[in-house]
Amino acid sequence: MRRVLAHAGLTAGALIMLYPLLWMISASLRPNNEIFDRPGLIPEHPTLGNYALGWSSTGTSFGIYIMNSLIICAAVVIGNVLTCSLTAYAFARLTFVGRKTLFALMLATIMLPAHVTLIAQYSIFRKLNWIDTFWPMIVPSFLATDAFFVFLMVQFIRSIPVELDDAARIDGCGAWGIYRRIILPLLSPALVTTAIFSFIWTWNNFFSQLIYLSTRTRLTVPVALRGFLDATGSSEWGALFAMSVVTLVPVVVVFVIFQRRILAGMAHTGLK
Amino acid sequence: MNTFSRRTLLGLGAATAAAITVPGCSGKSGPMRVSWYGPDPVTKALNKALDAWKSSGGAEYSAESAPFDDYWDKLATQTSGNNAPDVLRMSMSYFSDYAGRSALKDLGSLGIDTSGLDKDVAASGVADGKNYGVGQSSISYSMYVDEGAIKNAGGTVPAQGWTWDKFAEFARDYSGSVQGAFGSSDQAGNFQLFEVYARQHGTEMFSDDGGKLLTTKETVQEWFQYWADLRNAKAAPPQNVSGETTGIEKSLIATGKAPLQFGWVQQVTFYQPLVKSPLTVLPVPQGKAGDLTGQFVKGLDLWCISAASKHPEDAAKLIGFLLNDEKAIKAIGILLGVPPSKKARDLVSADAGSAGARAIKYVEDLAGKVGPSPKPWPKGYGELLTGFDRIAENIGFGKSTPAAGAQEFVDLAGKTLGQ
Repeated sequence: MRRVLAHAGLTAGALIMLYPLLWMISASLRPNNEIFDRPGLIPEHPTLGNYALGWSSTGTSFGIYIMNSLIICAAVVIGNVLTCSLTAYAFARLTFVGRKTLFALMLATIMLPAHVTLIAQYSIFRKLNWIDTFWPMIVPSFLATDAFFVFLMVQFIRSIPVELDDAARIDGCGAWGIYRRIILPLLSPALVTTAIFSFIWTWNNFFSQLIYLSTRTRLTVPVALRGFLDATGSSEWGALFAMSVVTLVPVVVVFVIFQRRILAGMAHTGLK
Repeated sequence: MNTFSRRTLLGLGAATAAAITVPGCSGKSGPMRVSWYGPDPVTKALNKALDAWKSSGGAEYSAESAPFDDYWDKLATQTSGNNAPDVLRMSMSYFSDYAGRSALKDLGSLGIDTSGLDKDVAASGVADGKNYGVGQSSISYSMYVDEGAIKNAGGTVPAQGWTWDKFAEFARDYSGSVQGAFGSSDQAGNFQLFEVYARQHGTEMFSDDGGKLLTTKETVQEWFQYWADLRNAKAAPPQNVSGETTGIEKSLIATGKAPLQFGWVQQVTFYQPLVKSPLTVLPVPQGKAGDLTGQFVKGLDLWCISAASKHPEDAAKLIGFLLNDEKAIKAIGILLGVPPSKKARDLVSADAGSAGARAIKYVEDLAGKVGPSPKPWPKGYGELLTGFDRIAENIGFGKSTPAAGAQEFVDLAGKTLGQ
């Protein structure tokens, strides 16, 4: 009896959480004038017109925006996973001059509001002639600039027993070998977390993509989605919701695939 | 290996960085960039006009666009990063900020042909004696009225619009005779409509140098009181309803709950598709019947050239083309507002029954009857715009009174203006 009650409560909670998402899907299937008319979930005159409209209405196929976003996301994921783990390894395991100061400096960059560095960054990228290219989004991730991930991995590596390093050293591993053969495999849960968050955050990152990209065929999904809304004119809500649904698909897919990996990763970390 | 010390390495690194940076510094200038804000139809229309520019032998260009709110984030970053587009669309709300920070070029010597433009529009971008922008459109404030709905409710619509007193009377009658509807949406927070009301009280809203609010506290209070009375009489909706009916699709007129809406004249084309019967464009209410001197005709969106532009001549030619070329005019239609020249209006208003043609006719009828057009909105205008709305909302929710609200606004203006 208690289980039934618990399940009923949980189901109700889940439905409440899901309602906005379901509403969006339902709205994407309605003609424009019906969207704000009724609060219910079942469209009266369901149509796929919004999908066709949204896909092509900007004059550039929405597929191009998705492709651009995927390219940037893939590069950022690779960059963050490779370089943040390497940096974290150095901070956690190697001794070098100024380690503590540098670590503190790195943490300080987390606390710096993005707006403070925005214009300086923009100037640098302009001097490099990288405005209106993907480089301003991609290159920083290959320089381990995302201090949050570095910090996450430093903490994780600190929890790995140093004895494993010592054992590897006796077997003839250098610093690089220890990173490659010991740390990286044990780090996989943190790597997966980094990959997922890098992907989702980059996929949804509107501001820098707005600032740095201009040419229509180079725009990304969040920037293109905003194009359906404009305070000074009529907004294409139907097309917006339809393309939002489309946009969700890659995120959900990535999450579902990687979630299994997280669990697998968890299982591997246990010391035997 | 001893020679390869840490210091040499650092030096090498610095040299490499310099080597990478220097070619960037000299600046590959690239083609002229054109940038604007607006919804998708605006972008499509301008792209078509730019195609016409290219096929008539115009210089290379690249186009950028963004929705209104995002555009300003991007333009501010580009401007401070010394990378502003050459030709840019500027709104009067931000014009003084950019012109005052010398981000815009003086167009005086660039020879843009503005001879065909309405005089007030051609001069819309003049600040401190220099011309920083050319108006894209001739627009004025207006109300769009669903005459069919009003006739069904037994009301009549005066040809020149209402006086404020008659308007209140009408709104009360309408709300009384149509179940669940309001005579008007609540406009208490509409700063731009208030500017017309303030001018009907004898003064411009701002002093010529933009440093002071000329409108008195009494006028502000009277305005807030006017709408509070309409809300109390149920002639205008309560604040919680107004809060949920922002945006064109959700507006009371689109959902049939009010017979009229206020806005800049060209926006009637956004409301018309959502209302079944044709919308009539009327002047906003007046103090004295038929006296329209509170209103003005002005270009509120401008074409500007950034001060740092490397292609000022081409940019000037392009602006001239967009204003005067027949193909460009036809491509743009009334998407940027009612066209600013007689020639363009005649070219565009061919489709006589459309909302666009009614908007054009409204502006032409108004010319000669309106008052002198005010100076460009001062620095800090954006802050007053949002502040006014916030104060009106507090009054609407009963957290403040018209008197206290008026004082709050006057204080805000004192702090914001003349900085």
